[in-house]
Amino acid sequence: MAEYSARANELNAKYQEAYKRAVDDETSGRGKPVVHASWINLKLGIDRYIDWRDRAINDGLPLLKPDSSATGSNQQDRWASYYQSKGSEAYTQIDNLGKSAEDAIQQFTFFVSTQESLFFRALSEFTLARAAGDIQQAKRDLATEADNLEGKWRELAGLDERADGEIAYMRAQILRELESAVANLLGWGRKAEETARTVVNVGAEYDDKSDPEPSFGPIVVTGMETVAALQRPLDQFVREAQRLYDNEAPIHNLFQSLRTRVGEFYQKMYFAAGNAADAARRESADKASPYEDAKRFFEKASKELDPLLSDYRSACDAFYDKFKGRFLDEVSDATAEFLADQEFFNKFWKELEDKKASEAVQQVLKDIENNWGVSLDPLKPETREKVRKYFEEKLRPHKEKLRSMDSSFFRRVYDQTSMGVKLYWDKIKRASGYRK
Amino acid sequence: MSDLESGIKTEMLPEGFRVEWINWDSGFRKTELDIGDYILGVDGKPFDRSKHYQAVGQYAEYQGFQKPEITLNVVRDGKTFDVAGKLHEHYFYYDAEQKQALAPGGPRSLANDGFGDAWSSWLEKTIGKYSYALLRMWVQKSFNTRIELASHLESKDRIDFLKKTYPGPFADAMLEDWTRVMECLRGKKIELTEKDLEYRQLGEKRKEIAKEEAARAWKGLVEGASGSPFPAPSIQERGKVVGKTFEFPPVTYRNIVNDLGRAYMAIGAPSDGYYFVVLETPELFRFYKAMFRYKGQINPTMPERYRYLARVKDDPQMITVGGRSQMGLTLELLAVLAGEDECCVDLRVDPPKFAGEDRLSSFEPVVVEASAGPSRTIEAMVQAVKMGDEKAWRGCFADWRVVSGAGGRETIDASYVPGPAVFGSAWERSRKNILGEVLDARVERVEGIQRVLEPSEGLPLVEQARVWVDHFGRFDGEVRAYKNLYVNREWVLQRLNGGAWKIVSVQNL
Repeated sequence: MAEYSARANELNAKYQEAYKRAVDDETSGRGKPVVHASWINLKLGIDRYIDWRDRAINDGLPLLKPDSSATGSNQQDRWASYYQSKGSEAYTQIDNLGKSAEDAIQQFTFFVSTQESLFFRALSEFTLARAAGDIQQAKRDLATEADNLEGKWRELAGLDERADGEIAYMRAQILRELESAVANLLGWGRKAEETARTVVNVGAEYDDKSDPEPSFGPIVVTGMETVAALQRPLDQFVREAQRLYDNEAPIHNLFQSLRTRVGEFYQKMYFAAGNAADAARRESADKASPYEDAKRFFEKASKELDPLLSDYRSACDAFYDKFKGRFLDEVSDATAEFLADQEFFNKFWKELEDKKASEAVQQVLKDIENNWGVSLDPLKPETREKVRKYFEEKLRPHKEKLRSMDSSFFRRVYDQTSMGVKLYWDKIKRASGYRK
Repeated sequence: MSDLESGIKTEMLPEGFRVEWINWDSGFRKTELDIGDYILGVDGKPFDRSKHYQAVGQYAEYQGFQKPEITLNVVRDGKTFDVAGKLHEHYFYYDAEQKQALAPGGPRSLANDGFGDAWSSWLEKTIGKYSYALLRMWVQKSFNTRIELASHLESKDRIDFLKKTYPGPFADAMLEDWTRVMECLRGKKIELTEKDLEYRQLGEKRKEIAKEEAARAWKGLVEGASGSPFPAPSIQERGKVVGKTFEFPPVTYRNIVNDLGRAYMAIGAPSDGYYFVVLETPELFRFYKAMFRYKGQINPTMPERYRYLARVKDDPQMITVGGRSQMGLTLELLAVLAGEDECCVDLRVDPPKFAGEDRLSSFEPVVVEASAGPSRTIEAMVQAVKMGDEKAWRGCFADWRVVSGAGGRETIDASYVPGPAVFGSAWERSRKNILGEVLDARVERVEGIQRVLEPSEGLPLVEQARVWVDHFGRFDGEVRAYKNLYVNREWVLQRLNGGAWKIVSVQNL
């Protein structure tokens, strides 16, 4: 029993009709004598043709399982070529059945051969093979873009690392300078104490016409320099941090641009295969519509796309998972941290605090106010007052400077630099992109 | 009645009895009857084909004659008409010395007057040649009209001799016939203007003009450009180039990259850095429109090579080029110089035109509507060959073929698709013809449209038409129709179910 039986039944019916008509014509004297052997031969030929036809129709189905290198157009070419050649074969097979036969048989084969070539032409115009090839192409494109995106991430990371490298270099430099400045400040404190003691020890000889000896002038100058040296790395820190984070802004913008493009790409690719399959099914159903057997074949062939589509959806899901948190879906904390370096900043700040610059400043200020514990009692009352005023006058600017570097000063430095980092973090976390 | 003659020679064909020749002394010589007409019957009575030998012009025509004057029922180009004429008894002619002659007073039948063969055999051969030339020369594929014309012109000596030595109605008729055959072989004359031949300058003269205009325009456009955009600065130093206008080095299709589903032109190199042009922008679409006009009108084979004048945007992108991620700034296109520096388009002008477009005339493509007749398809095919538009040319051909079934009936094979090799050689030959000897090709006539296949049981209605095409070349300073082995005059077209007419066999122009 033929699988594609509609045409088989139709051909057999037509054959019977044509045979009967030829016999009736002969009987009535209207037609030529019937050679019954020719009709039997024709029937056998039709039966052979039907068998061949079923195989010819189904043997094209493997073309809907393209290999991984297939494209839509080459797969469609193979499909069309296959069914066109089958159409020519069908035409020839039927046509040959009428060779040298009587007129009535030739008329029969004339119509049937053309009809069969039209049938196979309709099959050749199914676009399911194109869709199958397009799906394979789309899968390859996903894989290629996944590799390319990893390359882009590495490049982005490299850019970020280069910027981070500059910050790291700056960090080391600043910490070194700060440590040195703190040591110098504390060292100055000891020197100032020593000078104060010397002034007091020598003080008994002072008169009111001259300054106490040794002079506090150089000490104060040195003191101002140590404070300036303390401020410099902090100022530099603020400037450099701002500049270097400004340099990272284009990297962050690139990241945003990539997220936008990847999102658009993903959406397009996700629906591409389904759209291709739907369009091909509609077009092919349309081509099949005039023929029952073609409609039956279409149902069978159409199902061949299902495993390809399922496989493709898995590839899309894998792509999504691979880049989730980076280029797709919400930006993960790890990605934000990687690009904004907030943790690095926080660690850097801790290291700065560990240099205890603020404590050193408070200590030195307290020592000055306590006169380093140096008592003025050995001095005569009038000399004592003079020395006290001398110390006060000389150290006033220094004390003011030290007072200005109180904890709020350090808080301001922290706020100035951390705000930029926080802004970048927020910007990266809020970066728009595709979310499923 | 004694044996009467018509003086007409006919050939039996399915359409009727075609007039092959009318003798100089026939009673139908000076009537409306002409060579090529089909005689269907006499005095309203159709010929009996079972007794075809009795038809007018056949060897036993006299058996069919009842009276000395008859009216022939004739058809020519589908139109019927009647021609009355006189029959006559066989004429015997003699010269002054009472020797048998072809006409009163000579020439003598068996003499040759110094020419190669006797006058009687010359006449028989000459009538055969003339008849063949008038009926078949422009139809049979194997003839070369110019060679035949040269040979015919050489035969004028004998005609001139005849006219001079044996003046009279016979000589007059022979000269008239000789002249008619000469005109036939010479081919129809037409006038062609410079504009008609402008298509031949596609890719050459017109390209030269366009190139000059392009060079002038580009020079003006790049005057304000900054120096070289390379090496491309790093992303942090992009301020050096953002907002500035540069002339960029040439790129080709090899520089196109596809990244995340979008196409870009990548300009630069790994050592020098990159700039990118997004290929799906409104400005580029405007450029393509102008470029396609240029390709259609001037140079269909313009190479895909582009130079850009562009402003650098503050828009860094990361694109994969050659497997590696590259960063670069995108460009805003201001002008493009394409091909071999031949097509210059300023994109700031709306709508943009290619330089020189106003100076060079344009060709309108022949659009073939589905309802148009078969001659339109041929005209479109000729136009496509002139324009070098292979795609449009291919579109004129059918994707089915006419085959003869086992019973000899013609039918269609709907699974047939002509292969690329078939098209390739026909296209090359066509282009060679139209750029060589053939100055133009025009439809001469369309023969009646007939139904080849009737629609039934799923079969389409197939109609067929035959179109004859004249090919024109320059000969002796004139443009005339001609035929040889390399051109095809006969074109068979079909259409399915009233659709567009298509040429059914791939052949060159």
